[in-house]
Amino acid sequence: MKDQKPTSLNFMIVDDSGITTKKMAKMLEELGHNVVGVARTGREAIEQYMTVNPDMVTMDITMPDMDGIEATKHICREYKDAMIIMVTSHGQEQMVIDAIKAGALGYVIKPFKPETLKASIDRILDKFWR
Amino acid sequence: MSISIKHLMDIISKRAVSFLNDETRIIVDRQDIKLLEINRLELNYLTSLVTVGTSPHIFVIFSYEKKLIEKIFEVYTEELDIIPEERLEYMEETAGDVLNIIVGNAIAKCQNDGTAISLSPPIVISSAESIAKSRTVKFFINNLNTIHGNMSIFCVCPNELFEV
Repeated sequence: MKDQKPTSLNFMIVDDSGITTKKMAKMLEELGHNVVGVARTGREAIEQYMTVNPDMVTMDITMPDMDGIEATKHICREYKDAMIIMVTSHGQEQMVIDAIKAGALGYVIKPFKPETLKASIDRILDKFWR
Repeated sequence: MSISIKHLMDIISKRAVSFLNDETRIIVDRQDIKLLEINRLELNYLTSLVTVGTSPHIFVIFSYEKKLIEKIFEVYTEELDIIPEERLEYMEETAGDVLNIIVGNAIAKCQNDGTAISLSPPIVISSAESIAKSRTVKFFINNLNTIHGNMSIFCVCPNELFEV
């Protein structure tokens, strides 16, 4: 754990939509972060996590191959300090509960503004760098 | 899944109208919800489809006229650099994204018994004129009219879900 809260993080974006990935990357870069990896399925995310070693992950839920909840479970089981924000159109309360149980630390519902994403990132950082 | 197709159609339609207004500044002038028994759906220029729930599935289909999906795409991607060669691929992804967001947001308003209602990844169909079923089934159809063109929302499911 570092002493000072970081202002610039390395992100991995997990989403099966190229257009959403492009929009998310632009938003994160405008917030001062870097995008170091992109995965289009849950399985790809698990495979890439080790090599990319991101500070934080944005994870879609609805994806082919393996969904975001399952991928989050796998990553959090292997990497206890993984920081994952679910970014999804699913607004169901039960889906939020499932994501948190899987190990996600934040939840952002699409469509969203940059300030909503920033607030979610800050809330996670505050938990670790208070 | 304790959800009626009529209720689902209503909340998806309402969310579609607000999404178009809030996210793409497109106003829906007129809507026309109908329940039809047909065996063939006539499609527009670009169509996206998701399934809601596990069993029985409900199919939700958005079919966009060319002018309208082009306008949605233009606004949805206005801050992005998109090269001409990528345009069609990203327009198809936009059609899928819009459907995914609207249906994902809408099902948050559906009551369910302690389990989340699943949603499949969207499938996008281009260059198709119709979808046919071997026998007549019921479809809820809502046509949304805008000055940029029209889109149709279709909901189709097993007959028992029409009863609720």
